[in-house]
Amino acid sequence: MEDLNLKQIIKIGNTEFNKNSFEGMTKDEFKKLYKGKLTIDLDEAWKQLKPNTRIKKPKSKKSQD
Amino acid sequence: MAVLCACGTGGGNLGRPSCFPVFDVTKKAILVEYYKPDGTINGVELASLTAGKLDQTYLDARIKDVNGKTRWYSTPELKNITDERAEDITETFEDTSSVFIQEGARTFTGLIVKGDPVLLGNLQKWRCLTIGVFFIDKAGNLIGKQNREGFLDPILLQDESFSASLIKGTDTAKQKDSISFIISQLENDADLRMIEAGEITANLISAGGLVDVNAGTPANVSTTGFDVQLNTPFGGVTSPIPAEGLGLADFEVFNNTTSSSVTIASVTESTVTEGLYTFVFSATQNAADELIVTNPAVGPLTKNFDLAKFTVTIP
Repeated sequence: MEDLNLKQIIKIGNTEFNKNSFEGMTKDEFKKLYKGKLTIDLDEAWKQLKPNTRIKKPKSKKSQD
Repeated sequence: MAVLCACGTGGGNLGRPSCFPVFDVTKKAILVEYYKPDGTINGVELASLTAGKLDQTYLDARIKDVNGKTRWYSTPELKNITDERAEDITETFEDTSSVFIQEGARTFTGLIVKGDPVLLGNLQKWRCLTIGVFFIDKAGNLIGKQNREGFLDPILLQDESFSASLIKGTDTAKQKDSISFIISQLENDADLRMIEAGEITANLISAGGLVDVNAGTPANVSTTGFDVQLNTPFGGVTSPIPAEGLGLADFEVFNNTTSSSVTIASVTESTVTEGLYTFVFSATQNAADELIVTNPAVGPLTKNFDLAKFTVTIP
């Protein structure tokens, strides 16, 4: 059984989301899953659940030899 | 309890320190099943307290224990407490002298103001169990017994002695539940001990028991979720008091057909209908699957609610 901790739970409006449960899900799939079920803005909810977590690679410095 | 005579060592010393604590009047009782499922006594292991203090984390773990067999069940505040032993049982001879045979039974009674039939029903469920009790006194001390090294144990009640009844209100008195029980003859008042209030950082005196939560018939059931109304058994038959404030961490869903846990993607509490919750799963369930919704398997519970498990059948 999944043991939820507070870091996994995001509350948006009156809804508590399990952030981990959306891994691998697309925005379209998310919107289809929640269509008609929530009164909150699904685009805004998706932003919060799937933030852009790509880490920018540091620019490689040219050697100054 | 029969007290063995100390024939070989003489009587006990009768001196006392200049200052020492005593029990205050009882304000609450904590009922427990006397034995844990493993057969050991359901007591407080003193070594498990953090730095010797009974803290809120420890108290929550006991009162909100997901395992009902090891949970502490705190009563509301009790009024008009009586906690007295009947007169000693003696044998009287023809010359009118008498000898001590055994102590009389200790009977406890108390009243719960605004006690109602729902609470009464839950109290009555204790009658056939092997019950132990801790007392919380007015000073906030936790009173039990110590006849086992390293533990404060609950006080054993006499089997089948627990009784609860409803006292209806009158023109001059509020409705109440009354409780009464008899302390086991195996117990000795000399074993009574306490964790002093000064060693308790938890808010013990105001600790309340859990409230039952029952589910209505799930609605809008689909392969990805359902709606359900969650109410307490309190209130009118057409106006039950809803269970408000529950969240994602308060539930667990198990697919009984596929024997697998179901990840809940979200739980939404309605802003319109109190106690109405919408569940959504991240993975699609199959038609005809039977889902069982329960408290989380890992405790302690986060709220003061105890959800009765319910089933949802996927159409």
